[in-house]
Amino acid sequence: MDTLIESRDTVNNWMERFGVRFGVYKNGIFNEQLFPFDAIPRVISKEDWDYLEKGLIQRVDALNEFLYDIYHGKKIMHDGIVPAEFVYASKGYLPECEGITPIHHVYSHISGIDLVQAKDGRWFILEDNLRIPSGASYPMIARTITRKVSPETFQNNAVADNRNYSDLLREMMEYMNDDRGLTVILTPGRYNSAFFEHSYLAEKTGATLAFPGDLIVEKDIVYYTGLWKEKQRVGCIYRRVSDEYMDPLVFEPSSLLGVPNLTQAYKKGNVAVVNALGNGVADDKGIYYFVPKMIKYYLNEEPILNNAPTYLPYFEEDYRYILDHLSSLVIKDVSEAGGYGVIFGRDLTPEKLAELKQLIIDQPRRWIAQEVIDFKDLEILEGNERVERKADLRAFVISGKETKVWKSGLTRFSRNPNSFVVNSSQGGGFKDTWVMEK
Amino acid sequence: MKRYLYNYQTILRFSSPVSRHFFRLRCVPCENSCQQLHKQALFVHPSDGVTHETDTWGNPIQYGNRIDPHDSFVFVSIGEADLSPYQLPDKEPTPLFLLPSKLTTATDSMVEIAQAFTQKSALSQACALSTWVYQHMHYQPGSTQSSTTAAEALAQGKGVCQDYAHILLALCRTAHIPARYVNGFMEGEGATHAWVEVYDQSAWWGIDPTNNRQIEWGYIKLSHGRDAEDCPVNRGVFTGTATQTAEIRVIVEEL
Repeated sequence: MDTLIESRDTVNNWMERFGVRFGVYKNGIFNEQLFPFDAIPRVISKEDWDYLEKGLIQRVDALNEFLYDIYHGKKIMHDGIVPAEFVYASKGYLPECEGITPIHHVYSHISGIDLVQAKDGRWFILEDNLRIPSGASYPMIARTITRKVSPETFQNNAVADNRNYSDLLREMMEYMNDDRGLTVILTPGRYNSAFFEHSYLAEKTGATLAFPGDLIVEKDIVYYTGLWKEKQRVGCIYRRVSDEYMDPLVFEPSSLLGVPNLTQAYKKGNVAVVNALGNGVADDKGIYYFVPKMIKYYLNEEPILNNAPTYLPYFEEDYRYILDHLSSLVIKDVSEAGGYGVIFGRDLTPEKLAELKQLIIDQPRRWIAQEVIDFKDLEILEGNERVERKADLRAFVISGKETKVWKSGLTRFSRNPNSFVVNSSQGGGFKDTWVMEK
Repeated sequence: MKRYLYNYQTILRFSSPVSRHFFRLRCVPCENSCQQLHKQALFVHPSDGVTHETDTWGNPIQYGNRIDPHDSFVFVSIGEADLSPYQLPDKEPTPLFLLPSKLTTATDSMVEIAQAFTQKSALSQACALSTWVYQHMHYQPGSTQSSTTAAEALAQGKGVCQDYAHILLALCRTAHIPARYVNGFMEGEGATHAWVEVYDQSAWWGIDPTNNRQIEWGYIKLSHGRDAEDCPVNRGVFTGTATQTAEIRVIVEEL
């Protein structure tokens, strides 16, 4: 592994040449920055992985059942497991998706499940990302490069090959496509923060990279129109465009990124949309609290992986607890993503703490509170020195004919020693994630 | 039962040709227990074909596209509707009609207003709120836009039927009365009209805040939703730099 660590700069140079970038909008200005790679991998033992794999499959299967239920029979609400107001007040719930059955009943084809490991070795789920989770391309390309610059590292260590992510993705997309036509990856375009990933995944899976305007719907059939305006039928769209921009005739009318009348083609089962529309209702930070209950309800199993201890101000008992322990909790705004809207009670002045308390009293549905987990820090290289930093793990779960977990993941770390927020939109770095075969 | 003739037409004119025009219309009246269509026809020109379906709220929609360049777009919906007094039985309305929507979120002052009215039934309370809206608003065409919220319209004290409906919706929902936005045609009104349906005693009842009355006859319903954004009569997108002008005509007559 030492040769790998010595070659850190070579790896980062290669990544720069490959254009491995991450776009960040700050104060309305778009900046592309490199996503710094740290050469010391996160190593997950086979034993730990077997446990994580089972737990992740169970969780994603339950979330898919939940999504089907919410847009059809709504049994979980009628049985009082999830209060209806949490569902209907969620921004991600789309009434337009009521009664629509996605092809093969799959809603979350690609799930990015964020976990952290505590100092005592226990794993906790931090959040589920069931809309358009990004980040898989970074460890794929990092592994490709590190295998080139330090081949002996991978001869001497039994690391599961992670370059098969594109195979998992392609297999799932082909299953969803059912030979209807082309499989495309729909990107909002060059100025999207994850454009590198869209083009990389298209190249690796053999899918066609489609830009807004390339897709057209006629009589409920989706076509790709190429350079010469020839039309080819599309069977599967892996879209990297948010729900609200997908169809300007149904959702945000000003959207130029979407495909007019796509919703109708989708409703009729003429095209697979990966991930399905309306998934936001299941990865809402307020719904997260109920995922362990969903696992029991739909699968009749005990949850294998635990949530971080979470409190909902909606429930009287939790409400009191939160107001009494605000300074030791982390408070999250349920409507925010990407590491925004995360507040640590201990960082606040007494005045700010009182302000936050008032916000929770005024809008209890808007917030969740969690115990601060004592993260197991990971070593990173800062210059030539090894220092410890907070890190999380985004595991990628692919649901096609079966549910499979990619034997790797995106390990993100915070570069700031005092920060617990590891999101890449907030300027962190990443590591390779090694899943050991024995 | 009474029979009404309706004749609706819109002509869109583009200042220069547009292409790749996609449209989604709600200009054919819906059918329900107190409204059946005796005859109906729809003309859309130019188009590459029109598909008839229903949207998530159960409203009839007519959608399609015109790819080749064109400088006008016309749709005409005509027919005869058989109406009974306005009352639509429904077992259990979705909770969505109790929640604020984008254009109908109540302000603190609206909450206070809604609380000041307590009547015996939801319907009589909604009628009282309608009277309040009627008294506090001044009807002024052009004073608002399609994206104006209930709060904005109320703050300026003027608006059109859509704004009257949005304000009444915000007040009703604040008072825990399920309420939905309705688009349609009204006898004697030369354009499309908007009103409100409120839920009471297992049925939806029509209230027209712009004319301050509970609806019995003479209103032909096209569609409903949480607010105007859920059920526009016409939504379209096209490629081109043209500006568009719209000419809309509605005739409703009792036969």
